[in-house]
Amino acid sequence: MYRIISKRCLHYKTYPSIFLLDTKQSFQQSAKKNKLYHNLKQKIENNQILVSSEVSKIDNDINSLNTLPRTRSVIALEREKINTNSIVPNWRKTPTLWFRIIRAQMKIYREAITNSYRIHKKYKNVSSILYSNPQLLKDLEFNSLDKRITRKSFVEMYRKNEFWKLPRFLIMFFIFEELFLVMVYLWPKLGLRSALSVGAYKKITESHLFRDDLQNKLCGTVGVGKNISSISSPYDLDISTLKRLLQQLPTNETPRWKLSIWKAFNLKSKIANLVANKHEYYVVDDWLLLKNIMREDSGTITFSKRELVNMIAERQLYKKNEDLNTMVNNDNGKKLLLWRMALYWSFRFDNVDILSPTQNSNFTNKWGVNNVSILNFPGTLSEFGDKVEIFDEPHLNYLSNGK
Amino acid sequence: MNIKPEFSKVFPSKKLINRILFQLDSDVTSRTIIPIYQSIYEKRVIPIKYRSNGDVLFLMNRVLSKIRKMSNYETIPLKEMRNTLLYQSASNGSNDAIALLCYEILSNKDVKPPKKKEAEKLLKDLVMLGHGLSFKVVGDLYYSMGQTAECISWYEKFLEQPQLKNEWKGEVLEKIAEIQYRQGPENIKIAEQKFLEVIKICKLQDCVKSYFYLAQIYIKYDPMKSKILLEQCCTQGFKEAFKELGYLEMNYFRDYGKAQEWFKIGMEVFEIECYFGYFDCSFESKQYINCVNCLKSMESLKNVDKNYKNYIKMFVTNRMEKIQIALKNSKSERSTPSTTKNNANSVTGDISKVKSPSSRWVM
Repeated sequence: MYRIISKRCLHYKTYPSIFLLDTKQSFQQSAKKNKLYHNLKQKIENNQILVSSEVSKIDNDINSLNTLPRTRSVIALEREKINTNSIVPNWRKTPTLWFRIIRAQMKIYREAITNSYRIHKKYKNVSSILYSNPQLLKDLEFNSLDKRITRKSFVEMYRKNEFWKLPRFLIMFFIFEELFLVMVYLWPKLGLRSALSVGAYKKITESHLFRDDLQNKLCGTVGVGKNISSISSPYDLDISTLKRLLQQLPTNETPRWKLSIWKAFNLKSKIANLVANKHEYYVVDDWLLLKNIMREDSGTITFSKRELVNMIAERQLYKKNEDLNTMVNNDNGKKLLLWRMALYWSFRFDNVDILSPTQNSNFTNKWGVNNVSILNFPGTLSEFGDKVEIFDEPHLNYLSNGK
Repeated sequence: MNIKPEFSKVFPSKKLINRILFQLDSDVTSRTIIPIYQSIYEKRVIPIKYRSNGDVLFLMNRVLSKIRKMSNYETIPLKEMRNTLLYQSASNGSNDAIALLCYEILSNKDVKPPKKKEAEKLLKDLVMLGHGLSFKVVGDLYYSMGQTAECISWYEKFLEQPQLKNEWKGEVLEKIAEIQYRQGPENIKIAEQKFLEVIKICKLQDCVKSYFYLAQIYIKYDPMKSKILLEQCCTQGFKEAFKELGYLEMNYFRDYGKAQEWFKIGMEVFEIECYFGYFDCSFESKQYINCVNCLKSMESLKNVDKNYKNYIKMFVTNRMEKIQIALKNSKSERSTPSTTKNNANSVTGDISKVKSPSSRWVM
């Protein structure tokens, strides 16, 4: 029991925008003053925030479909097709199924390669300074963001790096030949992200699960006698924690060996700056998404299923053994994922003027400079504020107003 | 009787003069101008050959201005020499010198109105002639009066001039950017671009303010970049930068040793916030004797300024707990001989507009 009471949780108790998941009453009480929560709730209830898999319905400004993996297994899809198709005789069903699976998989790989090349080509000459996280955060806070920059272009600018997996992919294929397929099965990160299978994606999300001890360490340096109890700069953490934190972040692209060298030479500033940069990435991404949601003329915002899964995975808002792709394909799971995002945003962005921020109502003013203590924090606590808890199915009834 | 020091002891080296002449892209060599300086210094006379050459005299004036900028200091003989050269070059038809002299007269409150009118007339004539530097001078005058819109329009006219020298251009761009920076967050991006342009075309010593403002813009979004910029400001002795850098090191990078060093330098120039920062740093590093010494220095500062008194009072109220701990622990620490001594000086300076340090980073 003692282990559960983390410094981080204790420390979060002071934040007014945190949600308590113990009872319906405590949840509603904690959500009472959160304006953003009520705003998002209204939008979700009025079907102004939707999740769809239909390409024609989704918003092009926020979704980048071609850079993310499918949410449904190819095998399941093909099996469903073949079972409903009466033309294929029973004796031919199994070989036809496997033929179609291989054909579909080859098509996925071909598309993944062409898409990664296309995205790389599209953003090859775009200035990385323009899209750097500190620059974008500054522009958002000073309300001077370039109108050409959308959420889609922002994420694609990062996802374009996937292209550099191709040469490695080919080299390894020539070296290991058939064995390489086994290697990709064992280490799915070797493959292209947009070609990942459902199982491989689950494997990756499992490896990025936010561990409790690390979550607690994020605020571990905040001690008695310091007046900065709500701020934890990346430099507050020791180098091993920073390294572990980076390794666990799904958005981290720096290889493990590089981090190990930095750690060996005690180059803390390099690792700390990288953590700060990732923190800024999340803030910018959230802000761009919320900007689209909150815009008065926005009407209905539709996320693609792939994007919702990716958003949850990047922010580590899932529990062990949860299959995000299965969840997003059933109504209850979809609702749950959407609400996890809503609560996460409500915690971080309450009292932040998203559309026209002023010096008193911007994100850094609320949380401080690169406050990594809120990095991927879900915004929800249980056990009366002592344990970090993720919003789950039993909590869905907390959302209704009645008792 | 005061004996005048030798010229070679007062005047900078030939090497430096040559360097400045090279920077000014001048075709006049140090061999020509150093004897003129010597003649002015020793005999108070300009050689007949150059007496009516306004351009050479103005160039000599600019050389002295550069020396002043580089060293942040000017001796009385050099100052007198610079003023003489400016006056002489203006009276010998150098339009640039006339414009600068007009600025000096118009911005000086002690000058009598008839002289000011004359200067105004001369400046108007130069503007009518389309003389480039006059636009800048008019802009400077509006800037000193706080009329920003007019100031920017005159500066923009100046920037339209062809073949502008980077030094003037940088100065004007910096002032425009400074105005835009103060106008509010909507103009920050434009101001940032201008500051960046300034630091690109000017030397560090000529554009320390641009570095400082850029550091202020980046401080919340890219602290590492901000730190580098502030360090550059500190190399030039920019007073405001010490406390900023100290707080950045202390509250973001958590390097109390470095922060303490920056605060120490700030304390030497009597920045009140540096005293607060130094106390906090010493407390964090458990150097309680330094804390107590710093408190004593603050006590002596109380009588210097009314503002100081209030700030120190606020500081003591906020840090009461820490002060008590420091006082308690310093007694036991005094017995160990290895403790470092505080370098806080007594106060004679005058500092205005001091803000509470607690609001800077802790939000």
